[in-house]
Amino acid sequence: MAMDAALLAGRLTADELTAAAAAVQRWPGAPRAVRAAGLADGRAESPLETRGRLRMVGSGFAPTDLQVEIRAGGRLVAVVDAWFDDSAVAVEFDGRVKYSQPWRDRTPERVLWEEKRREDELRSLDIRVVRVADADLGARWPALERRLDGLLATPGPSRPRFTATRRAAGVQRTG
Amino acid sequence: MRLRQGVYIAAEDLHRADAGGRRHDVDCLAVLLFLGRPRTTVSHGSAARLWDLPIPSGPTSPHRLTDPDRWRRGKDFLMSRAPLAVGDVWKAGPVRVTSAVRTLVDCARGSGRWRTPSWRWTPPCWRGG
Repeated sequence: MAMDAALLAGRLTADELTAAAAAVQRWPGAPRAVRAAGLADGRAESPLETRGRLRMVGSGFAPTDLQVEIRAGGRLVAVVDAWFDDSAVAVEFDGRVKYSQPWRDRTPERVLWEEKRREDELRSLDIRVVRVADADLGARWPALERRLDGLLATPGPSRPRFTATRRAAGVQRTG
Repeated sequence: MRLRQGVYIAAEDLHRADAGGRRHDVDCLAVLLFLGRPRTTVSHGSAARLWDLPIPSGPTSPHRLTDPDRWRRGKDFLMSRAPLAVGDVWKAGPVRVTSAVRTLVDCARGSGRWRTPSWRWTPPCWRGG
């Protein structure tokens, strides 16, 4: 989580992190550091995204990418937190703070409405959306894992009406 | 006011540090001054706090230090012995602190609180993609 946050903040690069972990490879605990550095991803924009991504990875789910822009008709519809291309499944990590303390001076009601409209539009493009909240990462995870398993078993639309493009970097939310 | 043996601070300075959320910085400096070792460096979770990196909730002591020449455990501090390359150390005023990248690696190596999940870590095959 701290590695993701440092990468997102631009305090260091993934190469620096990898090199630093490699430099201590004979020290106690080095395998943990190497593994953490290998999993770190500066596109995770919140601790929930980091923990959720690691939960998915730990369960054997390998998203095609993180922070993926979905466009339709040349217009940006949404940026989804994780994306499974073959099955057109979008995963959104849904922190409560997004609604209770919205950024860009929006009201919670407006955030909620925009989220609903965005998801409606994704679904209208035959994209399945899975929302993962903090509580899903604990005892509820097996249920969510089964749901993801089921969704990923079904291929996405044969002629997609959207494009999915990886974002190079995450966006730091500063309020 | 006495912070540690031989280390004192004016009450108003300590109050200002407390009010400004800088007490950890003061405590780190105090332990470095107490030890008086030129190469001892604030490290691990203590350095993470100085770097303002995310830290899970839990006890913040003992203060973690690294010294290339010796280890030592004392009142509210734990000093590990490990090499410190030139690029591994930053100076924040009078405080020597491990670089952000070295701090992250040390934390990942050394503390269970920072571990990445290990459940089903080696899956038989990847799903999705």
